Amino acid sequence: MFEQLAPEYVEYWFVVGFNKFLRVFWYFCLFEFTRYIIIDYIIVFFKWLTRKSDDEQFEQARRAFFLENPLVSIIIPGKNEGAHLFKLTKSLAEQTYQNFELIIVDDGSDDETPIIGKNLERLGLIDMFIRNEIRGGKASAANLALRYAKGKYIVHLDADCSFDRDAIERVVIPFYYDEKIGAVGGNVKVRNYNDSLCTSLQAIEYLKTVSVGRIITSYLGIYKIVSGAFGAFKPEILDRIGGWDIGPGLDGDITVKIRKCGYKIHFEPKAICLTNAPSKFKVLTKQRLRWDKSIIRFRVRKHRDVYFPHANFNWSNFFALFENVFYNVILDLMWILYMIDILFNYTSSLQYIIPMNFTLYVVMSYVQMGSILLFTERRKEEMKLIKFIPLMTIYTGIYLRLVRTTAYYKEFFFKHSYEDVWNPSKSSTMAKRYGL
Amino acid sequence: MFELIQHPNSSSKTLSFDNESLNVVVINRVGELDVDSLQNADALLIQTTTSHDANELIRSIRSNRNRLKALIPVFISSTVSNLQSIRYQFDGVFSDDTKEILLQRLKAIKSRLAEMNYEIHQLDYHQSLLQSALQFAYSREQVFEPVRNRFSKIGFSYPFLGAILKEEEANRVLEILNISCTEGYTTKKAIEKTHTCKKCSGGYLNYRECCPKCGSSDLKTEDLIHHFLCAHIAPEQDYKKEDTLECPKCDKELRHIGIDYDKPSSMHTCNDCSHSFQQAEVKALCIDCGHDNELSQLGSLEIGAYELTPHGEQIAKFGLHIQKTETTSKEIHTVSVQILELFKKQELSREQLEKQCWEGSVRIHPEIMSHFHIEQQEIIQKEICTIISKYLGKADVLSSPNTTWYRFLVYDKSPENIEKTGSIIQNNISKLITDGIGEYEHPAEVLITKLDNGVDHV
Repeated sequence: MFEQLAPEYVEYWFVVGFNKFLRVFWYFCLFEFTRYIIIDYIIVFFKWLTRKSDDEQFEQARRAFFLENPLVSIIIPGKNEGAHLFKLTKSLAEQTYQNFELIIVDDGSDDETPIIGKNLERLGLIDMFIRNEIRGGKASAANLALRYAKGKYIVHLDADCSFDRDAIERVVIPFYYDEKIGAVGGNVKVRNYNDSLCTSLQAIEYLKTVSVGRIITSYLGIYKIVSGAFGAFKPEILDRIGGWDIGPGLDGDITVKIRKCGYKIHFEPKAICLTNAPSKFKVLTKQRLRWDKSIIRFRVRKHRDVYFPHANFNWSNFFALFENVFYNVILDLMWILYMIDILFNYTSSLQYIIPMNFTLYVVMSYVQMGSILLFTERRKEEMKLIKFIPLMTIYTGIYLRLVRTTAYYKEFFFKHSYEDVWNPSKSSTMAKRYGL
Repeated sequence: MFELIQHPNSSSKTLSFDNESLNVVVINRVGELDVDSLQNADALLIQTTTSHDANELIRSIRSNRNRLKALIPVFISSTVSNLQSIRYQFDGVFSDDTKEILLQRLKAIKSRLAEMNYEIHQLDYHQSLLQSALQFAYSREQVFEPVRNRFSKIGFSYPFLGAILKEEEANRVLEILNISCTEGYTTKKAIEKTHTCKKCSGGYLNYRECCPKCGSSDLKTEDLIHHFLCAHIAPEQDYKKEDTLECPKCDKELRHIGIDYDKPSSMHTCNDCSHSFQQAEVKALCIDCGHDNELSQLGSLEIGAYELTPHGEQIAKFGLHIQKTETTSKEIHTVSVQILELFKKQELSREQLEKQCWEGSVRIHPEIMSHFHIEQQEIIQKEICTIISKYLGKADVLSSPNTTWYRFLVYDKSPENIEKTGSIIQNNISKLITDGIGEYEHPAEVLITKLDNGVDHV
């Protein structure tokens, strides 16, 4: 019956046997299926088991948080973000937690941002608007905001984001779980997922890598990037590590710095922030090249000490970075080897391998989507993305892999990130000189 | 030419021009001013030691209720100290070089003053001031131009009105001038704009940067330093280590601006409340009342030059036209001449006059009434009617064909009584007139005749 219904390329693998299947699809079975299906669902199961105690822990922390009612400093560094500022203040005005100060640093904008910011400050919608006439880069702008922040907790946001009503509350509450939590990452989702195919695919990607991916890494204690769009920090820790260093990729960098100081990083999936993703592949490519270069620059070069034994060696830091580098850089190289292996050794079977490989990844994407829908609070909206899942194999398996490989090549051999216009050259030149 | 001569019968001095008898009273001290003598003077020359005294004198002169005295030409001697600050209040500065010019000016002012009607109309204080100001401008052929004045509450003063109203009442000067513009007596040309205190309308304001949180002006301003290498950014003080700059984050020395670091902006810190901010709030402290104004709260005044219009010139010459009050004929029970004639005819047609009926008339000398403005004449007319009706019976009839002629019919009075009544009416009307304009020979003539075909004077 099944043989009659199954396509020929599937039937082929029943005929050749499981051993050959494993030999051909070793890359998928060993790395992709294990990591993204087995581990994910095991952790989903454990989280389901502990859901009641997790809820109790949250309620207890929430009570402690509201009892203390600490001042929270919301800092927003940025350049040419004036158009977003009013909407942002409106979004923050809706928050369930209101004891916060809003500090916005304009990093040398050349548009109407200074006028808008000053007016909003005059109207009392912004507590402090600081204008830097000369652009210094996002790190310096964030550090300036940190210098004048008075809150017990610092929440770093991007100006073009909007937030669920309880987002600020939820991103700060985890600090009450454990004294050793030094930073909390918020959940970032794509607001404009309906704009284009490009944004729809990114929406799925964010759900997989950010929403679910970070729940898993946070559970395993290897969560290593608090998103710059939405994250909370303890100011005393930021002071200790000197705040943000020169980017691009400064959010991942600062998370590692905090980890290296011995603090835990927590991901809070219900602290939700919505952001606009690039709606064109050309813009997305530029963004991803920048992000991916930072893996080499920070995870491989700057923080290479975590891989080697030393006085402050920490296994969780090792695994956190190793997992990141392994699944992104090493497996990228391994994928090339895998392709060569298949092309040379199974040339005659390609008509069965390629469609089967595609089928495996599509099925895996749907199974992953299942875990997403188990966690999400926007199930109805996100169900609309299911129709794009077959394309995710091309998007992540080919497009993102090519972009990533290009970025690694450029950064590894040419240190291309130091020439990125995202950061002012005066800073990049110094950072390159000192190997930062 | 002008010669300064000592008045033979007075301690004051007068100026004479050749043989012309121009009486220019010279005043050297505040105490020398005899307001009564101004009536006979053609001009005054203020020759005090200080500008303060001169200012006091011009204020006394210009604020005189008698416009003849208030509008008198007043010159100031060039020897008065600090003359520049007050010279705009005078008709000229007297010195050897300006004698001829001042003489011509004096003649011109006198000639224009002679064209004007000085009756005291029924005006309130502000209307009276406006009338005087218009007359002043007309007589001097002068535009009311603002003069910068450090002591004026709004920073500007105007000739004449500025001398009458005190410096702290400078706003009222503007109010009066703006009314003149609204009413079409003057046209206004904007010259300057000034901001005033919300509380006291003072224009002497101290603008300074303040803390937006506590309002203190005790601020510390520091440059921010951005260290390129580690992206640390903080006030300069954080980097200072003895004579060098050292980054508190990475301990590296900052040697070269533009290479190691830059200064992207600066921050203010309030020394009172420690609040840090970049946008200091600019506030305006009123020096007069001490109120700290936010800029948005400040009042705004347009300072302009006011020039008489032809309508304004008419007003200057003939006085302000006040809205006529409702005729009070009901109150004083007058009737028209036709009604009076009708009564008279009916009375004459009665076959038997059991009791005597009298016809009376009061005539006011026309010259007397010509001294008064038309509105004032109406008021006097009303008062005369009131006087007459007071001595008439309820059935008696009174009519006033015009302001100089009053007719009445009196019934049932004996010749003795009517004579007495006529006498009282004459006395009272004469008193009313002489109280108003001074002694006048036979101001009113009362004639009462018996109402019959014959004439029987009382």
